[in-house]
Amino acid sequence: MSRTELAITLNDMLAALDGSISLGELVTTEAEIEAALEISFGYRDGELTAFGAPPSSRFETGIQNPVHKMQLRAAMTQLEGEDW
Amino acid sequence: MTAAAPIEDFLEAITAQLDKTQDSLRLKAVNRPLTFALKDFHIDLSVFVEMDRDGLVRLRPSGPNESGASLMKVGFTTITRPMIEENTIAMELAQSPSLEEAGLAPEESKQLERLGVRNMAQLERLSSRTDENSVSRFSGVDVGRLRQALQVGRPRIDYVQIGSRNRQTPINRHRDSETPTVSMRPGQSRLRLRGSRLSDRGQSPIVRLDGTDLPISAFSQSHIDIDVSNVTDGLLEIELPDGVVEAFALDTEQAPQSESDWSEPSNEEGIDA
Repeated sequence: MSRTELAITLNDMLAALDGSISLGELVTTEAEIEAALEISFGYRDGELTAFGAPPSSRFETGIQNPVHKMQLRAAMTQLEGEDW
Repeated sequence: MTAAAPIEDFLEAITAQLDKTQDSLRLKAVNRPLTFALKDFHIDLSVFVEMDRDGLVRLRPSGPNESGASLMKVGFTTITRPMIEENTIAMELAQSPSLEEAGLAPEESKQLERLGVRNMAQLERLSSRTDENSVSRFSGVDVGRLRQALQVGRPRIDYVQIGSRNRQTPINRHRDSETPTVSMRPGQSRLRLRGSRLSDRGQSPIVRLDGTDLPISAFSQSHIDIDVSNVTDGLLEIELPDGVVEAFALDTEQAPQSESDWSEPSNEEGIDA
């Protein structure tokens, strides 16, 4: 069972889309990803927490179908950074 | 096995993760302002829907080896600040007394919750737009009980605090007089009125002495601090959010001389006027 917080998985997926940008190059500005997701819930520090990660290898064998699916749309955005 | 949780907690847990993702991106943007951010997130969850003894719907995500689960599709999208401001209930509504605090039984509260009524402010709003009989008919709560709760939950002043915080001066209601008396010692600079629902949507309450507005130094749902330096005896009127005016006779001569001065110990959150 997956014990990676969903936020970490999503951040990793978004980070994977980021690449270096050079002047004059073609860049990806929007991406839509459909993927199987292994989701579970549990209590961490007393709060209900959603865990989610790409499914483990058993799904690739075709023996078991993916249980949960996700679709995310990400876009290149100019964000304002948080000051510390 | 993963935990079964009420549907609200279930969605909140996912939302918290999405918020966490956005927060991380905001930190990342310090060094990399142009980055990929989430615009929409949809999730197809296979869940088992259960209902507990209290009628609370609980969801449990299915595991890969379980069959017969229901499919729940949930979509999340980014919202703008104006959307939040337009659609979020005012803080005063959220801070309003609960239905139980107004004397309704848990079962009656649950019946009203099915109509989207979770506190007294929402009950008042619904009753004013329709009427108590309609609310009673649709919720199944006795109309007499509704009226009783509305009466208990209306804005009110419970007591006047003079001097130190621990000294609560009850309002002296004379049997033969409609106007209660508030005794204040000479030189007293501030008067604190305590009660419930004393402000509406962050609006300052209105306080007058003999028809002249008095300055309010701070206020919240549960208290009003009035600046009474250099005032004399007179009729103190407080206009409550529901339009009802409470009047007191302010008397500066009868209070004992030994009382300590006003101390300001309150850590209570208030709105400085």
